[in-house]
Amino acid sequence: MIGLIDCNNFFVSCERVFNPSIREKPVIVFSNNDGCAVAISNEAKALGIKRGDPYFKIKGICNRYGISTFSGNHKLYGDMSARVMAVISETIPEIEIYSIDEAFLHLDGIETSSLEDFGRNIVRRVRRNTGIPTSLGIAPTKTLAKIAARFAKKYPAYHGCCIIDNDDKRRKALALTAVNDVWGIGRRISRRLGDYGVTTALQFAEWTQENVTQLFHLNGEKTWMELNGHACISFEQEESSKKQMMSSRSFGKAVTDINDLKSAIASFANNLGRKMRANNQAAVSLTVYIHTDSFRPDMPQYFNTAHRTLPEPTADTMTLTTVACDALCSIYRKDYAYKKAGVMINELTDSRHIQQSLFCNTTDRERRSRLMAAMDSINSGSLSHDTIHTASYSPIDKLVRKDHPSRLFSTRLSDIISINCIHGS
Amino acid sequence: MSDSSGHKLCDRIDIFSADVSSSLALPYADKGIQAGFPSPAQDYINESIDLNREIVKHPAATFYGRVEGDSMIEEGIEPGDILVIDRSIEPADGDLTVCCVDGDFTLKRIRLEQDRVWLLPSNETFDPILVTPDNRFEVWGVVTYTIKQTRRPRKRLHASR
Repeated sequence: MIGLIDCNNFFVSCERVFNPSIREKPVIVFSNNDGCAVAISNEAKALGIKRGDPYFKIKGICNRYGISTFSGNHKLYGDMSARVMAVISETIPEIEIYSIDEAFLHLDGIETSSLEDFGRNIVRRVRRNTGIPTSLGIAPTKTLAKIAARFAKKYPAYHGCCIIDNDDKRRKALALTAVNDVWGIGRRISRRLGDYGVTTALQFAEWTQENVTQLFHLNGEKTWMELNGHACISFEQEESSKKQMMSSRSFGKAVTDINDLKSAIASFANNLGRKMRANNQAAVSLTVYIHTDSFRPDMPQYFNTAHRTLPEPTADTMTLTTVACDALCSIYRKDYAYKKAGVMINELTDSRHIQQSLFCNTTDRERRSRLMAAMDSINSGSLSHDTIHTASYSPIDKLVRKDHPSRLFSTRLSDIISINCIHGS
Repeated sequence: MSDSSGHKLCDRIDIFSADVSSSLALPYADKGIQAGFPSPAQDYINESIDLNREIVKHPAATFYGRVEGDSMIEEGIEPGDILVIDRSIEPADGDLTVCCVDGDFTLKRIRLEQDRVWLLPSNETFDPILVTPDNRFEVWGVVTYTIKQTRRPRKRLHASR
């Protein structure tokens, strides 16, 4: 069996761990530049706030109902995520971290009859040790585990853990699940399914395989198989199996100067390089993109991307920076106010098996990789990972506007919680 | 440093020499300093102390807090002290705990009785607090150590926050 553990309203929960006064109260966390609501507590959802609502639109409601608002404190969330994953790993050796707040758990070898107690125990442990509430779905396939986790979250009677372990339960759960809520079914597929009158996951699961194959590509077929209890999305334990990687940010204040963009791009390259080296990966090619603020139709708009294939696969920060900055220069236009920039590694490869290019200087490469290793070992001791970095880099945070930041409760001594010992409290 | 049960740890004084070149590892001589003949064992500096390892038993579940107010002053817990809080420990009767009461953090020893919970201050001017079902109450974590800076005047420490 496979488990999917999902942190409930993760960013909101992180804030609540260190701020008990906002438990059971409406809370919204906004994206980094305070653009849009990215995490909403159930109480705020009840007031009609939706994921993606821009701040300026719901400012009125926030003030009227006294909703607590926060800008994303991603260092805090990252640390809390690592704690949650560490606690899960103490019980289950094989986990696949799927996102900052979700992980798949490998549960083979655990007696089916004891799965429920086992699952509830994990949820309880994570809550006890980190303060983060979670929901756990257990099923024969990843796609069904995702659905089970939704039920665990929605209905308190499950005590945090819902198991789909027979065909009756499977059909019941699928009948209650909208097809567009199924993992792997995007907007396009669900619209096409809608044309055929399919609205629930069960209706889709009941199609014949021929129909599915005819209408959809491999991914649609995989999802269909998974919904019918046949696992075909494999268990990926290591992050290294990811094929793409991205580092991007919105700027708090629009950026016009190419040098500011360059330093942002360089900081993304620093990030990506560090991540790839940690996973023994190397980039084959990368894409740089920049765009203006699409929420400002009164201003001239510009969006462009540039793709570069690296001379040879590399995780060398300096090479990545040079190539990414070169790509940036090719798309940069003067007189626009840029709102967002990013670097995406489109293709990753195992850095231990790299095809060397004919003109590559191997001594140089070894020296470079030793330099990077030294840089990583120095930076791994620091929380911000930027003790030393390339000169064009500027720590990303400087460019990000934060209007209502919370503190780094769990990672910075000057930010830890204050415990009142005053009478009456 | 004292452990949370309030037992004195310094019945015998061990001298630890600090390696200032490192942030964590401190080499130590494994025998206390005695008057008279030096112990030959003192020549062996065979290990180092990693306070992180000694004090933080469950890193994923350990958080730090800073004391405000003086309701625990009689057991030596003063404003500005740092609390090592281990959330993985199941709170037991008599534990020093960080609790959430109606949305506020508070530091108290807990007394667990059959059907109720008392929060006990260590300051004779304060009264014990009875937690009732009307309170939103949770033990946030158990305090395992308090860390006190003894060198600098406490006032300055407080002001630097």
